[in-house]
Amino acid sequence: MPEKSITLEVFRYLPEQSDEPKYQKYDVPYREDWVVLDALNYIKDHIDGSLSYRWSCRMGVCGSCGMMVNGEPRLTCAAFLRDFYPQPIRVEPLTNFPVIRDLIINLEDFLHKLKEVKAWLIPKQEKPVSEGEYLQSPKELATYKQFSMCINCMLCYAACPVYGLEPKFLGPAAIALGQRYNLDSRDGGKEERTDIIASSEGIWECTFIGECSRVCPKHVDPAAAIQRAKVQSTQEWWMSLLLPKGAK
Amino acid sequence: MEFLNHDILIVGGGGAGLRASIAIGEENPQLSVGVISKVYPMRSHTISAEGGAAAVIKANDSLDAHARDTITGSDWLADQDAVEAFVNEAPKEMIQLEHWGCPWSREPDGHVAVRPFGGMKIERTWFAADKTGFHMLHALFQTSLKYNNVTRYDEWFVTRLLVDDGRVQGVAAIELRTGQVRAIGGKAVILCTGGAGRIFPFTTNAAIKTGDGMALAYRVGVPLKDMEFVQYHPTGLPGTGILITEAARGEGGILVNKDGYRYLQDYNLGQPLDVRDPRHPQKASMELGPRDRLSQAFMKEVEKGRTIKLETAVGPVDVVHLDVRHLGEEKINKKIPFVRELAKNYAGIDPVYEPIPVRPVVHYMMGGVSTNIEGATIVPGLFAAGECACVSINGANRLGSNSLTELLVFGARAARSAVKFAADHPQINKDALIAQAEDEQRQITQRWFQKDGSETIAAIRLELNKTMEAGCGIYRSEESLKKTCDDIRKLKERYHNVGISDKSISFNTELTAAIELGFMLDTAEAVAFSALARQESRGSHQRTDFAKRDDEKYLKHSLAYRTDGDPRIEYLDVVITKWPPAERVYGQQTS
Amino acid sequence: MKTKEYVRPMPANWFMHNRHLQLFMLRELSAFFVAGYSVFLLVMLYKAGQGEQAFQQFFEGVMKSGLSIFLHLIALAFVVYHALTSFNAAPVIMDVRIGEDPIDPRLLIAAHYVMWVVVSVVILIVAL
Repeated sequence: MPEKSITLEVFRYLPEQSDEPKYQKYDVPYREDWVVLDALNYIKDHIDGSLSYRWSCRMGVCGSCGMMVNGEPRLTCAAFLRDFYPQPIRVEPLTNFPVIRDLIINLEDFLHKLKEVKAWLIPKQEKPVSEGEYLQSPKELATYKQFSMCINCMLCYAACPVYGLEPKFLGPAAIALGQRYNLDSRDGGKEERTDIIASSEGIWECTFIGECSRVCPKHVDPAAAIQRAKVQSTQEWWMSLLLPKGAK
Repeated sequence: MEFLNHDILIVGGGGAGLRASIAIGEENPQLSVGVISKVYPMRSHTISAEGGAAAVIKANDSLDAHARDTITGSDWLADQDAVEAFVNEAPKEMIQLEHWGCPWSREPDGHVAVRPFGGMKIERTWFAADKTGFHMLHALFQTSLKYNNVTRYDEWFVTRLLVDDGRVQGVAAIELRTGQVRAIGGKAVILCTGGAGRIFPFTTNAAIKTGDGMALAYRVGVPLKDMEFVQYHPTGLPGTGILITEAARGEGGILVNKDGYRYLQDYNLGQPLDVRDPRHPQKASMELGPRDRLSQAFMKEVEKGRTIKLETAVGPVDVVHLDVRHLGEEKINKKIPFVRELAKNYAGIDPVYEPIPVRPVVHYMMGGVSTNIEGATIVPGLFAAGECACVSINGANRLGSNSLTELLVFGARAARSAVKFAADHPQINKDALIAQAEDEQRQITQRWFQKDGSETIAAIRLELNKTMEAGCGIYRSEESLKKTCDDIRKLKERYHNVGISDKSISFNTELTAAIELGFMLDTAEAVAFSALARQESRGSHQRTDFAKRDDEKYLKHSLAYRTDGDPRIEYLDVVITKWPPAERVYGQQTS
Repeated sequence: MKTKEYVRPMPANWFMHNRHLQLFMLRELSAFFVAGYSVFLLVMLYKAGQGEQAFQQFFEGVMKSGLSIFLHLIALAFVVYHALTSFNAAPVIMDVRIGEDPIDPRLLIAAHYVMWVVVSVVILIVAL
């Protein structure tokens, strides 16, 4: 029985060979339970060892293997061949990012932004470890938990036209992670983060297209984080306007 | 060659590496730290840990109880002084992580919640739903961002430890983007590179788990300790090996064979209670027995023909069923949502309505770079922590949820001793380090770019995987092990003829895969030869030809030293403090 | 050594990339009609302020024209589209919970529709 196969059209960019990318076609065996990442691994092991891409956990949690699959940002470890077969699949590096090589993008910009938003706990009240844990009710946990699920896979940045047009925009994941701490009952760093989150490069740059949330593989819903931050920020602005100084 | 320099270098940016980097900042913020990792830290494999992290926090628990469970679980091969230090520092480390924002699941009153876990006779496993490792890693990574004394070298691949005057004083690493080898100096180097599950075909481990740190240390003369002890996790998905957390059983999931029978009761793991019985699941009993015993029970079921044959892409595979249906949709969504997501995506079933097909898969290396209780190796200046190290607290079988805590406790410990060492050894020999790194660059160029070979990386890796599974699996014998040792010898020969087709400089992942394969062969060699030498059965090391534990001869750690030929195996006494060796008993009513 | 990175410029017609983006642009476009109609309402108010006769003239002369009716229908379509998409986005913007769990987003959307109907009915009653 001849083996079924499927064609992958893969974006190749080899900076030492050419300034321009090209698309290379590979025929790989078609298997019902294979994901696009399995097909890439097959190419790497058996057809073309020079194809470069990132991957690690192959279970949708490390965030390494995000790529454009037929124009949609996807985790390739969760994009099954069977959803495309028998049509060819086009695999490209995530859009809106510079390409280092082949399917590998440069995501340094995000790491700077993560630091800029101070995505770490700034305790409301310092408490020595010897006094035990901060108390946090399940309800308080639930208010930020969703935004803590971000795996930094960058699919939301690839989907966000605002980020594509204005690279200074903090972007969905960085804002969602800033909000994750703002909403944490243990945290008191909201004011420190406001300067950057509520700046023109922050939430107000967002036009609520919602693509970030649509493509998010972990249902973080960064669009919600941003819109809610806008509402909150607006409320606070009015309050500061209406209430005398010092009142809260 | 450009020379980069820090006070302390950490190789690996996973849980242990990040904890260590923060610990150095806490000890002395003036010290500069370099964290060198072949992947961005948040991609590290700590992320895949699901179930939880153990530490005594509740009033019904005690440090002694945690220590006793750990030592029993280890089949008395753990060093008891190390275990005592571990259980003692565990709660502090876990609270510290809570203070750094880790979203631990909570009790209604706001205190941290704990769940039962395999081999723990009292529930003490902290958890963040079933993404504990993910949340711990991100909390550590995000916290580490605020320390300005830490310089990260993301996507730099360490290929050699630089040794001068008998002291490790730095590393040579390929900056993947530019493909250049760089010399990075450090007064102390801490290896935190994790495990080596990828030497086996079916593993929960990520692609990056190729034993790099173990091999790096092995090559500079540090012995690898207790490498024969390889943990099979009893519930991995067939084919992919994706982990289905023990928390599924901690929350009440059961294991059944093809007849729907809870077969664990036949293997000295206690008697099952009805799933509706409020006392179910019983701690350290049945499904909550230790991992080694559960994986061994599975193999016995295969022998008896009582497993289920599942057709997969790689042919028929034996599986049993992990059934969580009785927990109900709400509890599944709240406590083990990731299990549901993984089962739906990768096994094509919804565990709310169907049982999950599972089989044992390689999960964890109990062995690793031999260190003392402070994380120091025998080579001055070199430290190790986390899965790549063997202190040892895990002995012949690690208890689930001890490893996440271990990387905190020993990551911090190794960091503190590295700080002391660096203070006592302020000088490094820059010229010698540069010369060695230049030599490394030359060797890489000659070996991989100027030489072609007839062998492929994929072929050797596949054969290594096969022989490890065949010879060093759950049950081993002299015959199977000798064959595997022999195969590894041949594969190491063939490795000399491996060639790579990609000759480009920038982000050459074929080159890194080739070098990783070399690390894997070294690690696998230590596993197979240590297993061959240990003529007893203990914990995860089960010999069909030596079915009993032999405390007379083998209440000892094995130490594998690299030589030009086969590794040299030596032994080191286990440290016993309060818990003399006894029989491991599971399945008794404990409360 | 610095390696060259390949930067892909954003295509000018990026909003045609998928249906979601097209619908988004339609929504952005609808905002013009919402704004435009608001201006028109102000004009109407101004006319009303000039007395009944002026308003009648305006009503007969401008509003009853075929072009006006046509524009009204288009504006109506866009305003309705704008309103509906706003309603549907409500669960994203508002975090309403009972205990730990967010309420069913459909409830939140339904509540907006109910409010819409109620407000419309009240306006009708007042107007008639």
